[in-house]
Amino acid sequence: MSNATLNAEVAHQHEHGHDDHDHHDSGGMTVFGFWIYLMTDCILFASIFAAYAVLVNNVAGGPSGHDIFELPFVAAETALLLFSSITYGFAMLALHSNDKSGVMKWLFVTFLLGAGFIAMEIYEFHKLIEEGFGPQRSGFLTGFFTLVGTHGLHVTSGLIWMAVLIAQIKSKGLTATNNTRMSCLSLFWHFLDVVWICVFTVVYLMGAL
Amino acid sequence: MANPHTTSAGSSHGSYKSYMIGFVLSVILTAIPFGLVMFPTLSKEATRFRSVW
Repeated sequence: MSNATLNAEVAHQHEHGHDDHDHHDSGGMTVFGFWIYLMTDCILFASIFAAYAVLVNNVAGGPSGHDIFELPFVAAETALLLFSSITYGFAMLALHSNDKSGVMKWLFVTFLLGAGFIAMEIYEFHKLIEEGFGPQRSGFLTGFFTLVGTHGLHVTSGLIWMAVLIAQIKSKGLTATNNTRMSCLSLFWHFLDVVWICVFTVVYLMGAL
Repeated sequence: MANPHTTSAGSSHGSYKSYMIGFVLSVILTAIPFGLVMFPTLSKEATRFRSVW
């Protein structure tokens, strides 16, 4: 069904001759380049995870993870991110059936879920800092704020990117360039979901044990 | 275009069904570890991994 649409699209692109074909190849190269970027991001997160693992027991008389983590809250954050991944998937499905309003609708839903996640994280950080458990309190809290904060900054970048992409699709439509952007943001968004799985396992679940 | 499953951006994509299967699996696989930690059923011995940290 969507494949048939896609084949028609591909055939249509070929009618436009060699230039469009080159453009098509550059889209594939962009996605490949984005994969390489994601792998470098993987190294960044690996380093911060390693630093956290080294620092986690250095509570310096302050609270440990067991004292400050609220698992129901973290479960809600996780649910928001998981739901935002499937709604981004729906946006990609809408893209493949050339449904512009569907793409924008699902991107908007994804944006709201991601914004909810960031709002919860800001609330958690604010609460901890207010209680005097900011990143300067102990090595453990430095590692915690660095790791969770870096992930949060990535999600925030993804939200800005998503807002810009919604505007671009609204004004220019589902062009080849916007298709490439959708694919790259898809990789980025799902990647952040995977990183979050490592975060809630290593930081929150193992910390609460 | 040899592969009809390839989009103009060069990435493959799934169907509604495959997305839903993946989503349901992700929810189940997330709920299990959360459940085990929030409602402890394993003995201290079974979760001894903590002492490594």
